[in-house]
Amino acid sequence: MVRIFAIFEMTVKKIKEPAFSLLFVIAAVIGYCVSGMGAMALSSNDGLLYGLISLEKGQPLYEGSVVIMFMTMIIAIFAGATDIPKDIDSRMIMLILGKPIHRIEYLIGKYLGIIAICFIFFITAGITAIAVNFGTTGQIMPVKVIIRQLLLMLAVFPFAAVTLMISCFLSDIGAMIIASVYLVLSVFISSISMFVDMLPKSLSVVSVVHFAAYLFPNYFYFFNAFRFAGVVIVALTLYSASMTIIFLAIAAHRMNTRDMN
Amino acid sequence: MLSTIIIVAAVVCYFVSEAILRQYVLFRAGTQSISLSTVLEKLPAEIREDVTKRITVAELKDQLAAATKTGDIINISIALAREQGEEQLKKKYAEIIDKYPNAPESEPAFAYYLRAPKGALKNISIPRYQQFLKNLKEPQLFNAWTNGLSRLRILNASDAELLEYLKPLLQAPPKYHEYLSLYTEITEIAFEENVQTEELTARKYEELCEKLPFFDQKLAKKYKNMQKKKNAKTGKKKK
Repeated sequence: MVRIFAIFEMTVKKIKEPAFSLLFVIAAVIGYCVSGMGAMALSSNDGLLYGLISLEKGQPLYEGSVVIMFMTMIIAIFAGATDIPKDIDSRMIMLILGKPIHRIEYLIGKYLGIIAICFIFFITAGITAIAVNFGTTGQIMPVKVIIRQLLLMLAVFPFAAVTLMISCFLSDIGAMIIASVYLVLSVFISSISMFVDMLPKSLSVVSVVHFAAYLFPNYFYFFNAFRFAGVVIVALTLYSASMTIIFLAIAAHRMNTRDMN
Repeated sequence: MLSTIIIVAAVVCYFVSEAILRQYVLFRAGTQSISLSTVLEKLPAEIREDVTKRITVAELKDQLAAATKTGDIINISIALAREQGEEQLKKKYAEIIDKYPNAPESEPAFAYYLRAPKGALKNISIPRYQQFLKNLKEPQLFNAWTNGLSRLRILNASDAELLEYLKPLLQAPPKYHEYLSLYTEITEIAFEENVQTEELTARKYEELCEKLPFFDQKLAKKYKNMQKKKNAKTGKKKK
């Protein structure tokens, strides 16, 4: 545990670098810019999106939070895709693994560090947005609504794991590109699979699309409205956690079999 | 060992949670009633028709699999075969005649093979068709009479054959106004064929038809009476 924490600390320390400091300034600026955005609302004119995301019943999801979440995902790509390849290129990894640290501990430490960076970014932008909103309207956002916005982070967990997994196979630039493509494909395949579910079951395309959909996370699930006490929130947490574990397991397998020289 | 258990548990959790979330989204999408047609409208024109047809066929297949009543099975089978093309429709009609010879819903199949040419999968003679018509009730019966007549006209049947086909209509007085056109038909054919007895009876029934109500009117009247009786009953109960 201590060894994981050591790697975690090493990863999070990056925040002190000027580039990362600038990132948090950007987060604050984004928070300021999105503070005026209202709650997300979809109508039947939005076509397929209207079917994929249901926003009725439950705490509202703010458009600003969604923007912040996407920005956090970009941070996850930058931080997740570059960390391990950089360590390998600079031979820093040999130095770390030369100490009594298992490769899996190194991986988990890195993952938690990236999540911490993403979380700090999300929180910085979120707090700025709430503060600016309070300053302009004088209204405090209810705690339940704030929790709902925070739950968007559940989508970032598996995504950071995907990025980290890809970075175990490729160089930093390659990992960034593939992670971005994977994200776009996930959105595309998820929407297709949900649409196909609305089609008659006799269509032979259904099983093929379902199989493909299992290979990509469905990020639309994280945007749906739900009650805080219910099956959906449990399923959503499990979904996020299980995907994270699966992606990290693949990354761990790669780390264990990879020649670091 | 522990890592294997964790991975297996994660995979199981992934499938279970995915299934729950998928059902939840589909349930919510159902309540929001996403319109399939609005999505299809956005497809390029070249593939839209093909996709729409595939979806219609798949929908009908699903409905057929769920259907339990004979009438529904026949109707859906016909609609499905119609979507699948002329050849499939011919086969389906022949199959329906064999499987459901007395079902009222088999009427399009009987009409299709009425006096069919040699080499066709089935051939329904005029007496066999007339025998089948005994299974039908209004307004399906009237439609079956007109469908049969149209079919015979397409096949260029002779006046004698047309008269043979329509003759059973002269055995009993008509009940509805709709039959007027059929009696006019008989009158004209009988006049051409110089068969006076049939012509006179047909004229008589033609005149009678003009005084009779339409089927819809009679049905509306019946429904109104039923409502009245129902209202009277509930009124009594209230008292």
